[in-house]
Amino acid sequence: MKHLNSDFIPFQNESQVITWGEFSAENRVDRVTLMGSIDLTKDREGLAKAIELRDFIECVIYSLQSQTLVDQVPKVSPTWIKNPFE
Amino acid sequence: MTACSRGMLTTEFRLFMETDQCALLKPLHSLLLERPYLAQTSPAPLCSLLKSGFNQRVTFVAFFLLFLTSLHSFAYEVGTTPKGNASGGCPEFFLGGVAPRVLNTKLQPGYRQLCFSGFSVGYSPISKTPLWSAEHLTRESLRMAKGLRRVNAFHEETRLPEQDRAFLSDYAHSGFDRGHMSPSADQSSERAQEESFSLANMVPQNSNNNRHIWEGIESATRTWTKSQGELFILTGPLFLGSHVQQLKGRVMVPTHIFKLIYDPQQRKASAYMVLNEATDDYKVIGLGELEKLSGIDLIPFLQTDQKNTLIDLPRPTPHQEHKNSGWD
Repeated sequence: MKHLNSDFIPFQNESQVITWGEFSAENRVDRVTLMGSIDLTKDREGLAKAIELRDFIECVIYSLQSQTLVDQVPKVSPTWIKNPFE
Repeated sequence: MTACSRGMLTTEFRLFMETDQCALLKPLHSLLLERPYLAQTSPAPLCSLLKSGFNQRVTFVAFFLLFLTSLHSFAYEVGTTPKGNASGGCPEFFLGGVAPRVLNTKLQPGYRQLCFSGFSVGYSPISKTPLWSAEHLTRESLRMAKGLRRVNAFHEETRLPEQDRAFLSDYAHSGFDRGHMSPSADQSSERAQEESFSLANMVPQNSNNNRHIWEGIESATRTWTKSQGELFILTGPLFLGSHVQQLKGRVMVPTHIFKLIYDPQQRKASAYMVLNEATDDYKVIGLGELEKLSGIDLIPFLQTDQKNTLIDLPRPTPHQEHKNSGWD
């Protein structure tokens, strides 16, 4: 059940994914990744999508504004090892 | 902490917003938006209060899925395959019902096959990645996949012993995407889609690569399935060269990624192969060449002389699918 929780709390975990059609948001502890494409069409459905996306982005903004931020989040570089398969 | 789920805002606010212009309402919008966040010290009660019918349905579906998954784990547990039966327990994903066979002995320690409802993987506890992920795509299965709403979660593969698993924390702060080998968008049921987010189906993938060239290859494969009727697909990483990169001293980063496609109409296979880096380049190689690089007999059902003819694979077409798909 834990990994199926639908409450998306930005930067809280590495698991959640919300998908809107071909567009998705992935939760990471150091970022929220948005990927894919989406049409905001000039109709009721387009408006509904636009509102959901805006709510989502505002929620991420609020989360960022609520914490002390560094200039740039650090990355952990991978290490090089001898290839065990060669 | 604030939950960004659908149904986060109050109904009256949502109705209000839907009947007016966003710009004019900005001050009020901000005020209303801030109200729930003031209670952020106790997010759990806040979430229950704000949860819409949608979220309750999702919760129910989630419990139901968990129930199915727990049954499924018993039904589909598969042991190590080199000595097991040829299909590893899920023949439907392989040409002739025969699963790939690992030839390079250095790939073999701890290697095992796992069956899922929409795909199967051959997993290495050394790389902590799949070595291949197999699907049998059909026009009909893709028709069912289209339009599936997705609220999913990347998760560790609990059917693997803990010391063999990749952990979510292995990928954290790495800058790499968790790249699906069998893509979520190919899956024709919610259960299969949820299962595709298992880390046993993931490799560390360059983010630009995952989102552009690779997405294009996945899209082109689906489009081609629709025209051909059915295809057998094997997707996996290659670890080439004397040294490779590793995340957190645990998960190996592939140097290349391949997607092998067998077309039953032409009775031939070829593979897309890309470097695991920010690139728009790809090449098409034959099955024989790919097998030499991977150290795996990927389609044991085919004779050697059937493995060396190239077929034309469609050009990658990023984001060309589902242009008119529904919201849900």
